Amino acid sequence: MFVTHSQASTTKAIIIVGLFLGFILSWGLIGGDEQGRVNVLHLVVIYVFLPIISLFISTSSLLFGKNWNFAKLVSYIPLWSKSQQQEFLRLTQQKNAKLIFFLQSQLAALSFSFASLIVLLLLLVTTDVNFIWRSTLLDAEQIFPLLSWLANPWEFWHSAQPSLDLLSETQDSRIIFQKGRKSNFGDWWQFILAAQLCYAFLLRFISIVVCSIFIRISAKQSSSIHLVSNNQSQKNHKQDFKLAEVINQINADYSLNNWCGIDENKLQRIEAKLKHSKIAELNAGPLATHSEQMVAERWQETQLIIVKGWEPPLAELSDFMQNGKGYLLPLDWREDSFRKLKNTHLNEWRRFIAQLPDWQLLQLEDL
Amino acid sequence: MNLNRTRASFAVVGHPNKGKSSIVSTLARDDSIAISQQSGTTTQSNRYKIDTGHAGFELIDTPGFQRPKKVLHWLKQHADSADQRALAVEKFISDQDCQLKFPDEVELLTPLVKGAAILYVVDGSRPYGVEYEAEMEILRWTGRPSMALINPIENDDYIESWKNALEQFFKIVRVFNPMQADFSKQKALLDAFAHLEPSWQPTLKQVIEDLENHQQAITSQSLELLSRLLIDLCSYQYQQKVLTESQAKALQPVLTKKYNHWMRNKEQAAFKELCNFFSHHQCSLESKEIVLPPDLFDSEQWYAWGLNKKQLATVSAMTGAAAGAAIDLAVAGHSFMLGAIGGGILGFGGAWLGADKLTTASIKGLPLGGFQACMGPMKNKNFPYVVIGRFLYLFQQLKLKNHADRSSIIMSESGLQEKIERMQKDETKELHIACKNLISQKPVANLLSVLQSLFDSVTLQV
Repeated sequence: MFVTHSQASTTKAIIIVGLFLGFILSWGLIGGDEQGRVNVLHLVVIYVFLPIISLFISTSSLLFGKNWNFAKLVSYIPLWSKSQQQEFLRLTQQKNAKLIFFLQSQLAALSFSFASLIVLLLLLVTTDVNFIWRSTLLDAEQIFPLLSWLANPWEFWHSAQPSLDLLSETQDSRIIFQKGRKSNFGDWWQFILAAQLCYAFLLRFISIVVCSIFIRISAKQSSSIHLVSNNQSQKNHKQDFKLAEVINQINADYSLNNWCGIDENKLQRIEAKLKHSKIAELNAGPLATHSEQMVAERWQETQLIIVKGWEPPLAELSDFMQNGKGYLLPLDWREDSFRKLKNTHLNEWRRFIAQLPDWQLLQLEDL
Repeated sequence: MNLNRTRASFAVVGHPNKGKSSIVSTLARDDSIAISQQSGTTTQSNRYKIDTGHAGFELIDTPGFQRPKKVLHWLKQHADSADQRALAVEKFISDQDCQLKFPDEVELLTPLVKGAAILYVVDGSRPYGVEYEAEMEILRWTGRPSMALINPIENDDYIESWKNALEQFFKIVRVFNPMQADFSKQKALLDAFAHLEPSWQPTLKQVIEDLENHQQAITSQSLELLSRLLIDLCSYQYQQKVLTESQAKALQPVLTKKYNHWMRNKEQAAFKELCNFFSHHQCSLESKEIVLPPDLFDSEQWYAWGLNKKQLATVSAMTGAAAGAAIDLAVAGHSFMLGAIGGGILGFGGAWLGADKLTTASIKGLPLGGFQACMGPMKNKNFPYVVIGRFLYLFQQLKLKNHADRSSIIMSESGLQEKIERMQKDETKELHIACKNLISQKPVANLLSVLQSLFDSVTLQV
């Protein structure tokens, strides 16, 4: 795509302006006077020199100047609708605005050429166009080299090449009446058509392609570095869970399992808060030896397991608890002081205990 | 460069709920990665390929260790000496019995066996515990390049004790808070990644360069977006044609509603686009709607084809000139262009003098004129500053916001004055002229460069 959607409306309008001008100007020129006489030199100016000079001006202005071109001039006409004015204003704020204005101008020139071509073909078919040329200062020998040089690009198209004979025979003068002369005035049409195709059409087409490439490169540069984070795996998240009740006191004697390795001082403070007695001490978990672990895994009495409340429950604790029963006491502390467990942590343990029917979650008050 | 061959791959491993997914989310700049306070939510490794344009790397979010002690026990049974340890880990992940008994460890060790480097994550706000040593030992057995990241989730109270422990197991130890680490810290971390494996250095250096360019591109895109938004909001006009002035005035509430709706939607769409520039696709904004002044309603006369007097005169002049030019061409310039000049003058004059009559004229009952009720464009001189202030505030917040941070952004208009004060005197003057021209519906050729100074001041602040 050459222009973005946001410039579509103004681009269309500029193309229409180009078509309109091409049609009016070509109809005026090729329509000729009442004898159907059309000055070939005027056509050369309009279809050869005008495209070349305007392309030169707009290109050099794009590269070295303030980017004056047809589209930019047209944008200053106070006839645009509010939305189109906004479109132009937005366009001027874009980094590649110069290129887009230039491209719009090239599209306008192409549409101008297209309209001219249609008019030429239409008039060639529907009327007798008499191509003549007039000059006060120049004669056929002087003009011929220029026209031959201009016709170089279509050297292969012999009938579209100018000839000295044709030039001499089609020279016209407004005071010398030449009725009844050899009727070869129409022979210029192939030269005019070739000049249009080459200098108006082809030149603009090339400039459009080049400009589009630059616009694409510029757009690509501004958006080439975009981060793409691509998740290549399927997510598998457990979502549904229940929360177990929290109790504040135990109702049976217990065997103490110090899973997290809490210090003796804290253990005594915990035991003092409990209304039932400790009957044994067990060692299981990450700090236990293999034999201590084996003993604890076979233990059938009620246990009180103490864990770090801020750590999430791991499967190794869950595996251990599958074979026993009792209470789980997750604790939070800093230095020597116990702290209230954060709700998010407590909920983690409630979720964990809800899956273990022989266990209850204990939280001691005023610890 | 073959990016696939040299793509660096990092498995983010550790205890559950230590911020592994947050780190992946921040480094991948992807806010769609699920972060949950519920442990064990990641049960499978999730691979994220981060493509920065010219290079890339891969992050693998893994489940946490669940049975490290038992796994280490198994490994010790299968390796008698240090040279057999990596092989024992390979055996572990391919053993069917282990796959059943230790699914989480198999899942998290598999990418390491396949060549990923280790990013081990711990919580620096909680004390170090010996229970972590089993998993660190397992990671050491893999023989892969490794780095430990201390994530100070709640505070940094225990960072030092963690450092002391981690340095015994890992080549590099860094403190990295995925919720707060700014771009320079993220870059420093990627730079540290490059030191883990020499063959990844060119790719990761390119990633850093790409990310720097990406930051600049975001600023540039945001700048253009703000300039477009300003033009749109300052020049928008909602209008409707009616026959009488009283009809036009009766339309005021409807037009006000439609105008305000359009303006607010336009601003919200720009905010959304800005969030997308920063890849904050899920980001929610808690914003008070932009305040629009109430005195924007107007009703003016309109003429044939919906053009006002000036437009009608211009089009008439152009049509007259075009018709005259055609005559000039037909007579091959004999008229000395008088046709075009005369046609233009006649057209302009006729339209200018006769336009008022069109208000009451009609053709076959169809009116050629009437009244136009319109809302806007904005005339309040303070309005461009409000738009700039809100936009820049969001830009600043997004620049600071990491992708692991899922909180809403609460919009504010404050802070613009400070940013303006930080600008140079001539830049401030240009800003005021630009805002005045925007309100006067005049083109502002240097709007981008004027706004650039404001963006620069935000970038400096960030």
